[in-house]
Amino acid sequence: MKEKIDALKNLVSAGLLKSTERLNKVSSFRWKVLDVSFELSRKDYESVCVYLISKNYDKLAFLLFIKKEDASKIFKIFSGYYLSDSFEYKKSYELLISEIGNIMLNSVLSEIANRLSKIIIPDVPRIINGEKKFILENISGMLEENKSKVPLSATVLVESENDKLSIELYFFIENGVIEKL
Amino acid sequence: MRFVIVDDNSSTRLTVKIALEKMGHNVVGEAENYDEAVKVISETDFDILLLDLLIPGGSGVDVLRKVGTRNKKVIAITALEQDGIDKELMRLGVCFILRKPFSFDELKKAIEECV
Repeated sequence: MKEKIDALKNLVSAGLLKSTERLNKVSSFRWKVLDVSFELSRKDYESVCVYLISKNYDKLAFLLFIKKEDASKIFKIFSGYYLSDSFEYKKSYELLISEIGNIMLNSVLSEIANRLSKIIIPDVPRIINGEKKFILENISGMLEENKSKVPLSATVLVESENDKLSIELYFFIENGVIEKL
Repeated sequence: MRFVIVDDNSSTRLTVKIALEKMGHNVVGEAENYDEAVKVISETDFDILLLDLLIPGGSGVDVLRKVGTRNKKVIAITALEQDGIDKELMRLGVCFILRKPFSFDELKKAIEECV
């Protein structure tokens, strides 16, 4: 099993590396994979969460968390403005964060699908706001046979000239899937 | 050339529309989910379809399985990079797969590859 878990870590790292390379092409931030581990961070915070659950392969759920204030900073650098009270701002902001989640989470999903020689098409990524711990508990509770799933976390560092932000990612993957890797 | 854009993200549709118009093209139809995509592809006269793979109600692959390419050029847009999906898209007649995020130049190149 250790070999399989190492294989999974390598797939997550490879997927995140690809996604950060892609994001670096279009962003003034520098995106960098910092850590992939099985140590789940206990830090709780107000977050913006993007999550996806596979449509035809219901054994996978992937989540991305950004601290609420960091998500605003990312949006400000991409768009050049910050108007937190406006409806249009909120809509654009959520679309941007959702697209970042889409790119990062689907890069990892693609690595796993390729390793399994399967087609895995997930649902459209969804975005929710709230405390990280609360969201994690709720989404992991939604998954069937959650106890048999292995949670894996990763951290991606995002650097701009003035700031360093981190993004946390969580992957719930069933043991049976890991054994096939 | 006349384009149809299928993408659930309204900001992406707007950005791509502006980019296409800057290149001298026209956007003649838009859709943000599976049902709208099937309808607009079936009922609109266009030259190139820009098709996002992850849309509500069914995937872009499902859309192509339902309506086919109608002998038009299709550029698939996606953050996915799966060998199985790429092969299926090519089998269904897609002429180019554009990975997200993409630049103005990459979009231009994808169009040139298809025509």
